[in-house]
Amino acid sequence: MSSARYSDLVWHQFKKYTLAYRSLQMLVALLLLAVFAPLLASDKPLLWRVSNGPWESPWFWSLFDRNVYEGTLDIVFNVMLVLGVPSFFLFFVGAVREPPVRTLRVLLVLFGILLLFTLFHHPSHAKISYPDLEKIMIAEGQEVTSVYPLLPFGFQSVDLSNVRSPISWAHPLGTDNAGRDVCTRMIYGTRISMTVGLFSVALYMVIGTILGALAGYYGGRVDALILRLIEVMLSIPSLFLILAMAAFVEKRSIFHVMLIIAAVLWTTPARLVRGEFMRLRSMEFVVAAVASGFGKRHIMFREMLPNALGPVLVTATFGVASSILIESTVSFLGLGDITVPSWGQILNTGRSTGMWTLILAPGIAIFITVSLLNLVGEGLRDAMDPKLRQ
Amino acid sequence: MKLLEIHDLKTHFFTDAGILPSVDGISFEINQGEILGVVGESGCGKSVTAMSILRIIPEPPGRIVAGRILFDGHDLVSMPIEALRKIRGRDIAMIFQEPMTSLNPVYTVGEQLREVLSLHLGLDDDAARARIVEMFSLVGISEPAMRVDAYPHQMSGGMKQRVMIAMALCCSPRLLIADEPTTALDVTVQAQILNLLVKLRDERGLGVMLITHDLGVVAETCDRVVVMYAGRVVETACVQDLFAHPSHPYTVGLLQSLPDAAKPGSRLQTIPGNVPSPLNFPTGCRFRDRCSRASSACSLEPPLHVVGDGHEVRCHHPYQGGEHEHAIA
Amino acid sequence: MWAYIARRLLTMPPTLFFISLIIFGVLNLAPGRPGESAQISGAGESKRSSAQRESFRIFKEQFHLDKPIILNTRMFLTADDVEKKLVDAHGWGDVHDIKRRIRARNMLEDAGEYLVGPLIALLDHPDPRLVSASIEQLIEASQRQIKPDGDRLLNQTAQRGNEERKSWRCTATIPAPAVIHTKDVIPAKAGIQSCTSAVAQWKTWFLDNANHYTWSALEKTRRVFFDTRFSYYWRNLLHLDFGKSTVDRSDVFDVVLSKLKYSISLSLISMLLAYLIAVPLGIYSAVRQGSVGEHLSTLALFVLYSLPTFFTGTVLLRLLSEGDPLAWFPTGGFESQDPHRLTTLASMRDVMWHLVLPVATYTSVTLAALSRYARSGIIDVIRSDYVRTARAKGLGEWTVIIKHAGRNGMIPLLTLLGGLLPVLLSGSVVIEVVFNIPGMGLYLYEAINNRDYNAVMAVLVAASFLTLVGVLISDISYAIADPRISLE
Ligand SMILES: Nc1ncnc2c1ncn2[C@@H]1O[C@H](COP(=O)(O)OP(=O)(O)OP(=O)(O)O)[C@@H](O)[C@H]1O
Ligand code: SF4
Ligand SMILES: [Mg+2]
Repeated sequence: MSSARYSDLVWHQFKKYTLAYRSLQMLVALLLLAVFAPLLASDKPLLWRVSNGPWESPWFWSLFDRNVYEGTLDIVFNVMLVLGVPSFFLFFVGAVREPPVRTLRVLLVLFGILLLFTLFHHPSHAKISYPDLEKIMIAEGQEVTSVYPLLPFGFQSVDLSNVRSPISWAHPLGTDNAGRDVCTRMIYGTRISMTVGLFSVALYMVIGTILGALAGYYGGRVDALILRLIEVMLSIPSLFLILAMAAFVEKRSIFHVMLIIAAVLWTTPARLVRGEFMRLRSMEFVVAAVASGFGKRHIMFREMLPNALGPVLVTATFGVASSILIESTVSFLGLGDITVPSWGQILNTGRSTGMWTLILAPGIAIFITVSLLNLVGEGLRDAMDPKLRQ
Repeated sequence: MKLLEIHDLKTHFFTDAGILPSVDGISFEINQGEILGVVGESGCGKSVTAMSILRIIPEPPGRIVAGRILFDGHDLVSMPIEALRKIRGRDIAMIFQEPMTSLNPVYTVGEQLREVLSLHLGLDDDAARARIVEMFSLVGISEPAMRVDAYPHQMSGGMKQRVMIAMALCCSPRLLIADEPTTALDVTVQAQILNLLVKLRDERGLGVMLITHDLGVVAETCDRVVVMYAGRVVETACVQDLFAHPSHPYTVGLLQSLPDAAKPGSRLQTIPGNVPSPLNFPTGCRFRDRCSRASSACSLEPPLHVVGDGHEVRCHHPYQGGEHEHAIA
Repeated sequence: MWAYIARRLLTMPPTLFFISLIIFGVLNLAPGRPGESAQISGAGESKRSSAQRESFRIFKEQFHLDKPIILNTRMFLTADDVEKKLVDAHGWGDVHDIKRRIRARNMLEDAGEYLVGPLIALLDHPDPRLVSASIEQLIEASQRQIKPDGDRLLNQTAQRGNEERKSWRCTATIPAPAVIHTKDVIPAKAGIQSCTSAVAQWKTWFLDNANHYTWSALEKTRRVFFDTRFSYYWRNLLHLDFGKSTVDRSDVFDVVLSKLKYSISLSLISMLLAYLIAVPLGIYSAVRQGSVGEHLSTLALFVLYSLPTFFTGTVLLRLLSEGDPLAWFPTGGFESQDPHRLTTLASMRDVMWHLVLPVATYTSVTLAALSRYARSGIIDVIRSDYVRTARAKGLGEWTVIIKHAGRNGMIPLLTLLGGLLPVLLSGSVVIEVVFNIPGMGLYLYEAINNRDYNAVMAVLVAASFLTLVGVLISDISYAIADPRISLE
């Protein structure tokens, strides 16, 4: 059975689990929400014209402006957005049903070029608050035409004249104690959670898989060493270790948090892959590969790894959920990156101010995301279980 | 005297894939002091029948959908479960097919026997222990007094099966359901166990339902035989009749696939084709896909023919007296 | 059995050894060691509060972070080396590399007693700036905390009295380092004169104490290997000496021990409660598969499973104790302000009343995971052949489920016991912070916020030790529950 057919089989089975399949769709929607965040909420006007001057789009250029978002993270998402709109139409409107490899490659190259472009992009819009500017200009008697996204707020634009405002049409979730629009912050918070989840899991999956593969393949002393390391890591309460490590990094960025999560959680895939490799090592196709003189690296990563990938994927799904939980816990305790609107951060503000919107919105968002991931993980696990498949 | 009568028993499994009519209208009876052999290919519903008698079908997905099982004239199927529990283990005991996993790994074997003895006979610990040791030596367990405190994982498969047999017999049941009791044992032990069953039948009038694949065992120990195919009884006869004048084409096929010492020259034959899946049994006679005598009539339910004294067969075209000899030749 | 426990206890130190190795690694290799990044980004130390700097210095000394990691070669420093470092540290050289300057300064701060010899030699240096810098360095070294070896003598000299120390300073009129490195200011002639008197004093002092600052070859080799971070780290661990808190000077290990009772009672109560609810619930939903009750409990458990602790805790606190809408429970803490006035019974009630919400939050986390395990454990077992045998024997349904399915199905839960402890301890940070319970988690949280590194270390090691004990307990109970596991 080739591995491509195996994945088809799993996918086919997975689609039968309605709940898990719907959850996956909702997760994709959440990811799209993260990508399209600036289309929903931004304090830069999509279109802008003063008197009879030319039409401009400060919004578009601000997408590549590191000073607007204070982080590379958002830029990456924004580049995805810029590429995403055309490819969205391509894929979903039906022009391209099955994207050929070439299209994907072209998109990838474009992605790289756009990212490079942001490196040389001259920031210009950073601290201008267009809604305020507009008011001033109108007061000065100028004519301003502007089109804003649905929520004309930045996720950190403070408005002290409008703190703790209740839920309204202008502020669907009210504002927080600094007058920031909660809904906007929640939307951008999706970006944080998604990146933390995906990135740290990707990182520790790689570390864990390599270590586990080495241990399972070589056995003996290598295995003993790695196993010991895993055992030891497991004896240190993980959140304690994560918090302590966070304490040793003075200016924590969200990337530090991801690295730290990865540094602590790699043991799960390592144990798993180790077990799988031990099982696979004695299997015929591996023995055959060894006999036909393939290199160790080829055997480990080309022959064995694809066969061990199934369970790894399942743990990865659960891993995303736990990484998101850990990041929000760390942020909730005020030990994360304090510049980003992470959900845990918002909840922390909620706790200290006692504002219900700030407690419920992020809490429910985390709950939903984690539930969806758990449901997908369970569906995936069942889909891969040959006992349950008929 | 009739000990157990099964009338038109139907036990179906309601799975995601569909309804499996694993036991579909079975009738037979077991008399006191009689060993009834039940034979048939793997998956034909022998174990399901046995478990239906004690109502220990895994439920869901399984369920007894119809039929009566009369024990001492009381219907086990409709009986309240509390009353049935008094019968389980005391009047009707069962030995399972899987000796390796049928004992609870976390209790000593002694404890597992003591439980039954105190439940049904009200024996205290000392009396129970004495009884257990006695039973152990009866079924041929060496050093019985020491084995009482052993855990199942400390015993071999054969030893475990003997413990199971001791457990089944310890309350002196009137009916023993033995589901392939000797499969896990080597030949000498097998003979010992079967002799024990025969002895108990003769001395105590024990009725036995002996499920087996081994027609040799049937020939040696059984009084009557029930042949099952795809959830149905196809032929019932006393042992001599069955071997001398098999009537159902399936029985004939079974006997032909038996290495026959009496005819060294004859070739071993197998029944062509496979057992149909319970999901799509053929209508009418379920054997018709594989039957050499099948006709268009066979797509209708075959009638019950009485071909001899206590010899019944369910077939449109049964072999009549001696006719099968030609088929074999 | 006892032999097994003894053997397991014996294997614990090696594991603890490795754990401490990891923590040692975290301490030494974490990106941006504490203090350093601030020094670099702050372009000098002026920006850091002196208290924080002092805290970091004490921490460095406690964990001997001022020592080289594996090998110590500092006794081979020559006057030339030190001169270069002094020049770098003050920025007198041609290179204006801020990082290099900070490195030099750290080195001078760390090298301690090994600098004394070269510094005394430098007192004869023609450049007056270097002479005064050397004196400054000697004084700074003399102000160090008491250390076991030679530094103590240096310190005693310094203890001769503040007066004298001040007099050195004032007679030497050493300009503050900040002024020196502006380059154009050169010590005045008068300064140089009073400097000479200080130089003379230091030289006579050195004549008396030189034996403490020169080492035999044997001593040198010993120090190469043992006067290192690594070696001191182990010595401290063996003495269970985690040092003093930089916040209130208390012995951190004692504090951690005193905090344990809160955390442990909280987690034990919750764990017990979780098992008490989870096991029957798991059995119920396994036995009644497909019933409405089973669906409801599965749904409820799934919700609990995905709810983050901090959210549950915050919501419960707001809803039930902060008066939005209800104020039934106290808003935090382990007991009321004045527990001494209460009778024992009343005090117990008081503690219980305080613990209701935290325990509820805590339990909800564990409960979900546990009952899923309980359920799948029973489901695995309830279809097993031996449960069928038990039924066929005529045993009552209750006996079958509890005695035959229960014990087997619960064995996986026992293995979970060990794994649960670190999870519970991890959870304790959040719960204790939200409900303000003065346990280990809150202590860790505060220690992290105060940059009290000693306390962080002590909590980590203590928590790991607890985890190991938990794993041992669960292994033993596992072996007791399952006779197939032999304790050898
Ligand atoms: N738990 C179950 N769930 C679903 N179907 C079952 C279950 N148990 C038995 N069956 C069905 O009942 C049929 C008969 O099974 P049974 O165990 O009675 O066969 P058998 O005659 O005892 O075979 P063997 O000689 O191999 O023991 C099987 O083909 C199977 O499809
Ligand atoms: S009924 Fe027909 S098909 Fe069935 S066994 Fe008899 S002859 Fe063969
Ligand atoms: Mg069977």
